[in-house]
Amino acid sequence: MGPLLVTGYLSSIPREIDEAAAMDGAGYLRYLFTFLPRLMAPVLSTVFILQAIGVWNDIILATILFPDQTKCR
Amino acid sequence: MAVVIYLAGLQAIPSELYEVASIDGATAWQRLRFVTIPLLAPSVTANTLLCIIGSLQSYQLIYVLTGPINPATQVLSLAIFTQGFGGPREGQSSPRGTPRRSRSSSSSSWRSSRWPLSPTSVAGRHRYDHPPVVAPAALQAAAVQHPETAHVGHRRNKPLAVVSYLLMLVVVVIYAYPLLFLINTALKSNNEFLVNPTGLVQSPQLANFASAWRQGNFGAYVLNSVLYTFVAAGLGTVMSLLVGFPVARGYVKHPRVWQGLFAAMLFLPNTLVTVFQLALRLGLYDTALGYILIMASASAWARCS
Repeated sequence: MGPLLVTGYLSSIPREIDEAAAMDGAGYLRYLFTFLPRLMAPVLSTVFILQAIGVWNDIILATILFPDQTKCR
Repeated sequence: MAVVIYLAGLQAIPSELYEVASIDGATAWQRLRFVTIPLLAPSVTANTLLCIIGSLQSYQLIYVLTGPINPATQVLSLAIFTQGFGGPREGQSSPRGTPRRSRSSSSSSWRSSRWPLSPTSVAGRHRYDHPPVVAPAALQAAAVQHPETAHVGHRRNKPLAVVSYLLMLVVVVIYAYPLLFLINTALKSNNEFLVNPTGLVQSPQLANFASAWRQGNFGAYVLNSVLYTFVAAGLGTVMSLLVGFPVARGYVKHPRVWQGLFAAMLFLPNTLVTVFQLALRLGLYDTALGYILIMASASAWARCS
């Protein structure tokens, strides 16, 4: 779900911003972690909320991975 | 979930369209039929896809309602689940749930080979087909509100509004009654409950909640839930960004193929057996770390919720 939403939203962010950042000397990872989170705040918060709902409501994996209720941690 | 998507879609419909429609004499039904429904089509598509994916992956209801091995109601997800855990054919089910794992073998192609690092490559690919400045005066002129059309708005259809409010009231009562009944019962003391199990509470007590919280060890469990949720969802979000960015920009080979894979992976049946075996062999079984890691990757790749 997440990567699909992210790729969809990225098509609305002009590629010229990538190139401007690269011209100013920002590396790939720096662009990814300092520029993109601000540009993509709406979709990232959507992805986070969707995934948080999924994890919060999960019971199957917890039942399978934790055998004994007395030692959950 | 579906409701949230529909709400977002509804909010994206500009209200000017309704104004124009009512100026042209459209009734409430016509506005619904010719404005709302056509413009909601993308949301309908998204919800239909999500529902299909959810139905393909669900097995819990079938497990509970008709049993795990009833052949009349067997589905792929349930077959994987029941054959994978405890049964004599534990080995058989793993390959069926496996395809999702195959992505890890090709992780080396995620390198950012085409990130525009050198200025010459940037200059070569630049395209300025459009003038950078949009004439602001024209935009402002277009944005000026015409006061003579402001009074038209939505013409309210009185009987229709009454009917819809009544319907909403019925729905509210249907949804709220069990909840209120629950609270009513929860506030009773033990004696009062024995004497009068269904009546209205006479002397409300909050001590029930305190003892339930303490005896059920709820505090620790809520803390666990919050920890798992925030760490796993945060990791999953970062992973989505890391994976989605190079694919969307074409910094990897065959971006269309990867995008197709993302969509296709949503339809795959669950990978519980494979994930369980993986956790066992990595020594992550029965650890919080294992749960968080698996949940993060699962929620990034699968349809979550």
